[in-house]
Amino acid sequence: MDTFPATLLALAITAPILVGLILLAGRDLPRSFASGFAFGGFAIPAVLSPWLLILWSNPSTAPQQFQSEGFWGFGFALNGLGAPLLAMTSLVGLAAGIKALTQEVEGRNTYLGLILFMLGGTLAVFGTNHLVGFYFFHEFALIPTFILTLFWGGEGRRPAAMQMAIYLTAGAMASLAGILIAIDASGVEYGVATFENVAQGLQNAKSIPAATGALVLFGLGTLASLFPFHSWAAPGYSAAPTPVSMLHAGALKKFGLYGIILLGLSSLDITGGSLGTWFLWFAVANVVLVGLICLTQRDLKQMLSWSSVAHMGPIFLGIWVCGVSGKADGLDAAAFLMVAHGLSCAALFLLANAVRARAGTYRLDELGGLATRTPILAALFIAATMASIGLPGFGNFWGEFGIFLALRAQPLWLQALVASTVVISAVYALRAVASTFFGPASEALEKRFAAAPFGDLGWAERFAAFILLGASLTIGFVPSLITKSVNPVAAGITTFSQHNAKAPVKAVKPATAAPTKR
Amino acid sequence: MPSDLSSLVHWILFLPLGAAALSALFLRRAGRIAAWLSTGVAFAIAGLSLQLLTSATAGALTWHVELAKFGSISLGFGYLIDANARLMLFVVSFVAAWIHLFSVGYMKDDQARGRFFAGLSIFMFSILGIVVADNLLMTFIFWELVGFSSYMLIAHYFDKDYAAAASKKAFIVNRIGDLGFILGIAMCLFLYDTLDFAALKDHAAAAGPVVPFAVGALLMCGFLGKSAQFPLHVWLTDAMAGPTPVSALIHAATMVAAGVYFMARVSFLLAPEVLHFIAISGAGMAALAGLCALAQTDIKKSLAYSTLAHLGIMGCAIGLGRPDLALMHMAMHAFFKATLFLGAGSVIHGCHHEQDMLKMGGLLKKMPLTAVTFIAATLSNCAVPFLAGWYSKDAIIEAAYHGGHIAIFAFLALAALATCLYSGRMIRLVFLGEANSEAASHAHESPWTMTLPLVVLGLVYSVAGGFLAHTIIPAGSLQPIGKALGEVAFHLTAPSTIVGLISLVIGFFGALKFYGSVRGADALQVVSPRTYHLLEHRWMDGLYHWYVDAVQRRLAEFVAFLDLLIINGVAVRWIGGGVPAVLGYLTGRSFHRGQTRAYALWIVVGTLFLAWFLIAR
Amino acid sequence: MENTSLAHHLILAGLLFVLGLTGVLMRRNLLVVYMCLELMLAAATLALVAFSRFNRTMDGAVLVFFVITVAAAEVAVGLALIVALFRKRGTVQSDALTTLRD
Repeated sequence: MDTFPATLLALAITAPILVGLILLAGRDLPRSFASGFAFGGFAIPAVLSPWLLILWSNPSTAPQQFQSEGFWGFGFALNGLGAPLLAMTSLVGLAAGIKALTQEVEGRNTYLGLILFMLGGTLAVFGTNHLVGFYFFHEFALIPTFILTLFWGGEGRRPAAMQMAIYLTAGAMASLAGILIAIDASGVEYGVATFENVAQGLQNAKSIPAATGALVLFGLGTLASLFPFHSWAAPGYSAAPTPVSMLHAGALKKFGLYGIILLGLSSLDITGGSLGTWFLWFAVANVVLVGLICLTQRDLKQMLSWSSVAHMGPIFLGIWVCGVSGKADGLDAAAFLMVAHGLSCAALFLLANAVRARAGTYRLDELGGLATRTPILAALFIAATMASIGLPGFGNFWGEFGIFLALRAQPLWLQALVASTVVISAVYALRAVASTFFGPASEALEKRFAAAPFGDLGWAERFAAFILLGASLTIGFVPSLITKSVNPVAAGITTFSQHNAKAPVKAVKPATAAPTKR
Repeated sequence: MPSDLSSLVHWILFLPLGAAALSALFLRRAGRIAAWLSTGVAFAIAGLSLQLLTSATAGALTWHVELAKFGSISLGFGYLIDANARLMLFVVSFVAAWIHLFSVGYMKDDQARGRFFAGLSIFMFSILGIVVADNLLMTFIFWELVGFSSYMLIAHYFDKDYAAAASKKAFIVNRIGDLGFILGIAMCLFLYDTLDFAALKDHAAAAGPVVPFAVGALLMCGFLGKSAQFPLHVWLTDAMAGPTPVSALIHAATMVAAGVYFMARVSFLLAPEVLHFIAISGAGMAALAGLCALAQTDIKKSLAYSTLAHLGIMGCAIGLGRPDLALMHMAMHAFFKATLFLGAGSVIHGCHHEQDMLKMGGLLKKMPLTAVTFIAATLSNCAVPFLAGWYSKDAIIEAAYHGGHIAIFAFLALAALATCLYSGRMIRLVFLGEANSEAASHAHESPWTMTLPLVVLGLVYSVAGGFLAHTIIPAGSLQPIGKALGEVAFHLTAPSTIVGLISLVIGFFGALKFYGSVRGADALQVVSPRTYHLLEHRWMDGLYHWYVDAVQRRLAEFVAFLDLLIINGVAVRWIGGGVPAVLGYLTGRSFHRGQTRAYALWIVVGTLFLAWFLIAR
Repeated sequence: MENTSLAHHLILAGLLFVLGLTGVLMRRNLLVVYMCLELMLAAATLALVAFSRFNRTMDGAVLVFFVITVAAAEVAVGLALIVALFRKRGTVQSDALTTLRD
């Protein structure tokens, strides 16, 4: 069999890790050499992963062709959900890498090396289908995140990094317990404990310990900032250096969701019973309450951080409704939004930092009128904002809208609550745009400009933003790029979870009367 | 259906997108090229639409492709070009082409011409997408894009606070309407399992005469937002912060008409109660907005209220179950209102960006071409018999009368009177009398790029539009409004005509006389300041401000506070600090006394426990 | 060897292990604690060798080589730490090393 795709996959994942190792070891490598090397580490996956996604969507390549043995017992393997996320992560990684390369920091090689570790670990999470590998690589990616935030972060980095570390470690422990119990209950040997095998095993298992679903849901939910385990997220993203915020909020966060889908949704019945009820209310709180919290933010980066928490709400609801309704549409849309949100969110963090570099502050009341000085920055920022609030043409639209459609059989009040995000997000996002870029230039800004004139967005950052927004536009215009890969997985998981669900789902369809109650 | 026609639609739809992309990416500094590129594209589209209109065949032109699938939901993209769509395409593209030409002159000295014309092109793309869409999803996509492009165009002068605020307001108010729209789409999918218009129509027909109330009510929300219907009309008057051609294109001719068009397209989904609501609120708004137009000194704001009034009339026609009349009025209104806005633009341009009508006056002599076309369009607006506006507006009033809706009829009659009043006022203040300011006395006629569109749109279409449609264009291609045109048939003794003529004489000439009595100020304000203040219409904005400030913001702050207090403070801190404290108290702090041996002991205990657990199981 | 069984070896290993463990828990001098740790390691090694012998496989014996190697490395690091600690603090009594408590 042609194992070319597997080689590509292994290369895409190991390249950043190897380069990261070299940079960590060679702290005194000359600057230009280190820069070129690091760029290679960022660029290789960004070239290979989209290629892999296209290969994966091509029906003539079999899934087995993407599997390799690997060095550490659990080899790399791609699945339909991982493939688009892998591509997204690599693009976010490239953009973050470009940003990191333009930054002047102390211990630059270590900094770059750690970011490469983050990237490699995240890629590996999406590029393995082994449960232990999933857990291992997620820690592998998170530990550099803590270190980077602690040492290279901005204001309030110490408490933020500590809080993040405690939350995420607690979440990781809960999820590890859940994963181990699940593997144990499934009766699958550890060596072959892939998502599929474990799901299959749990399918046939006589009994699954009751808390397993909750451990997996809330443990991994903490990673994905599920309400009320979200308190770490906003300060964490705000305090982290920009490339880390981009990677963390854009890509790393998604592996909580990835695990919830592939383990929790497929075989642990997380949407049934009282756990399902809690899940629903927490997800709704993510949409509504966190959305309202966004409205009160007076700081651009804080606002972005909170909004990145709020945008997880629809994704959770897409997962939830898939389990409840037994239809794959919610999961398809949720997966789409995971990819699209990664791109738009990373672009926003990138550009917000460019705003700060010019205006010297993130405070919205001190900003204003930046568009006259920096039209391109303004245009890109508005584009990214529009992407994040679900303007058609960008990928986020399909995800959000698909989730609203997937909720169609739910009570109207629930739909209305969830859909209210289109108004809430528009209010806070446009307010931020208006107070940053529109209106007359603020006095503080004019003073800064007079003291040290600043130019428009530099070429490197422009390129990084173009990559992210271009990718978002591409999947916005050609959504089948993602759905072709995700559809079979979602359909498979749905059949599986339906098999597993205790109570049959009611599918009442009134012919004439409006469905106000399910 | 021949494929060459669907490729025609491809061109119509994607030409402007290409032009927009080109301008935005490469022509940012080459405003002149961008302007002519965009204008050329607009004229090309107008030509193609005309071809589509005249090559009319009996059935609808359809073309469909599936973009992706979410589960069983098919995300489709396709065209449904029925007679309505052909007409709408033609009206939109034709008016837009002339407005593009006008903009070339109007925006001549603007620094950001490239951005402006890119915005116009992306707007064209969006609005044409709504027209040709064959399913609810695609409609919604372009619906949102229209919102976005209008946001960008209103924010053209973004360094002004009012423009920034107005653009934000327009987008958000539209989004509130879209919230209902989304729910309506979801409900359609739930009930009928399709988003396709044709399939929906079959399902609705099969389900019998009873259509769920909620579907229509929710879909209507989108219409309320986009077409600026009560209570979501507040954005339209503020949207005048954009450049005048934008007001003409978006806020008079096309964008607001999109809502009307959409309601006509899904009229089979509207329950009677929904229709009734639309009719009453439309008629009420027509009367109210007409009167409010009397209390505006800004010429564009006055016209904006006039647009609100006409939108109310169109909504009313939809509510009366006559979408064909609504479409006809939409078409006629597009022509004369575009002329009025462009005329206003020409006046503003001529008076060196003076927008206050009280500071104008006597422009008839200084800007004759503008004045004549403006007055012609005004007369059409007032529904002078045989002018374009008359055909459609009177038909709607007539329909209200025949339907036996006396309240609606009364409101519409009041609206007709108000229309004549504000039209007369506008003519008197702007064009007659003496110049009331330095700027007005030095006014000059505008260049040809601006007056040519005025002449074409104003004289040819506003005046003779109905007549032309009646006689020249083949009847088959005007199928949707053919019936309505036939019905009007010059009933000079019909109640609507009588009401129209009376209000015309009283209103128009009364206003001319009344507003001539005071110079440099508004006569109504002098005579009755309280009435004037009431009509200035600030209370609705006040209500929304109160809601945002007192309700929404406080709620948001309260939630943020709770989050900080309960989740971050009590729950997490308490658990995080409390559990070890309690355990420490119970165990006499033997956990962390710094004694290595104690730690070792605990390790042993833990290991033994684990071993017991594993063996005992 | 005739009259010794696996149980004998294991009992001996267990005794050694408990001896080591008691030392770790009771003694205060870090150096002694360290020697007791090594005793525990030796107990485990003995058990491995015994298993290897009585199961007639080489697995345990091979593992022992690894354990000895690692233990040697560990001793080097551990002793170095203790020496460094003594130089810095002047004592290797574990009860005196409670800086982290406060």
